[in-house]
Amino acid sequence: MTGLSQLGRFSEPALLILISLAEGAKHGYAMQEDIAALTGDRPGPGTLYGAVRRLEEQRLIEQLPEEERRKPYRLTELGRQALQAELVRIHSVAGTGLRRLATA
Amino acid sequence: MRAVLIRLAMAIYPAAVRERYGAELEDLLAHSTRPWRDLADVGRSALGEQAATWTWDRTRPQLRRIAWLAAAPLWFGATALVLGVCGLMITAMYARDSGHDVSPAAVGGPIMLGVLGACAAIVAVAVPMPRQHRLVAPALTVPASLAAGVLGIASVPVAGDALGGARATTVLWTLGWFAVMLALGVTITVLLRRGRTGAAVAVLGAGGLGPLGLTFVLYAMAAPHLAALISALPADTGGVGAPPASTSDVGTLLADTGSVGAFAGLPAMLALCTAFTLTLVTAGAVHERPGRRRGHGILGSGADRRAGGAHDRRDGRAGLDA
Repeated sequence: MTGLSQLGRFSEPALLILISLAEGAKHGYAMQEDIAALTGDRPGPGTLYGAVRRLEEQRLIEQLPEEERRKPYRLTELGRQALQAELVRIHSVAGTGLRRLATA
Repeated sequence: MRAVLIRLAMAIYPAAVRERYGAELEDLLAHSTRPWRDLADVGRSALGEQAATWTWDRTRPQLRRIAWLAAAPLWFGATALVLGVCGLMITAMYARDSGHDVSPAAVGGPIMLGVLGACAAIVAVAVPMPRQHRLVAPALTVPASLAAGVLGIASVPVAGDALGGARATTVLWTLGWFAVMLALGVTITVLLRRGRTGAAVAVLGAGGLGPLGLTFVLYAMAAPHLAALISALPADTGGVGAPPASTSDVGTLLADTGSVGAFAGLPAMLALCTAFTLTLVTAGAVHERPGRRRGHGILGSGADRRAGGAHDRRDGRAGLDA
């Protein structure tokens, strides 16, 4: 299983892209809008496509055929599994952290 | 202004990344609500991509081409010299066979024809080059490499003297030539990529051939002083058995034409470099034109991409899930 932590500074934008694409295929501008709505901060184009490139290389997302100049991307099955694993890990870490805060 | 900055930022990306994502990146940048922040983000990411994808194997061919270009003035000068001397030999032989003397003032003709022949050879060699060798930003790298080569030659004692007496003048003239070639190359490239072929040809003719003709005139004026360059030639170089004292002998003819040290070969050298630069840059721009839509460099147009970008924003992700 591919870990997003391998993507260095792009690991967080990559996770947000995977979450955005979990809803369905999107192109760059739609991803930016979705991530902005999700986090309150719109990723810059360089950061967004830096993460997109790495996710494509890891075969976690794939480009769909271009339609009227739009280049949409969607999750692959591997990407879906990687996102699932990452969210479970985050959920586990967050749960542990919250429990420790509550008992401290 | 924003379009220029966008193209500059995009030019930093490695070609492979730019070709794959350039159109999308330019579209997002062109319609950004926070352009400065996004430009900085793209510039930083592009530098990161360059660092991540840099390999010696990828850099070496470019460095080799630049080194070849820097050495080119040496070959240009040698070619012109050989052709000029051949022209002189033929003239001297013809004069001797017909029993006439050749006046020193007539020496300029064969020499100028030699430079012209070298120009034609250079143009013929340069035209197919962009199809075989891809140069990064040729409008910049070609004149810069040639200027470096000319300055390198100028710094060598004997060859430097052949280019011109005063080194400071040679440096200034060469830097001025570089600035003019850079401006002409960028202008021609931009015009060709925008499909304005007529305007590009006009700039090429007026801006390129004009100074080229001027340098020929200057060269013709300087030609009588060629003796300084070739005075080291043996007296019987072109004589083919003729007595050294004959005025139809090339060595003697050259020795009679002017004073040692007065010759300035720089205009001829820069004329040859001009022919090479403008041919290579123009041929490169013509060769790159079909790929204009994919965002391939500092001078690429983003207008067609922006037209598609507006469509993207109107539709958002509508229809993609279907």
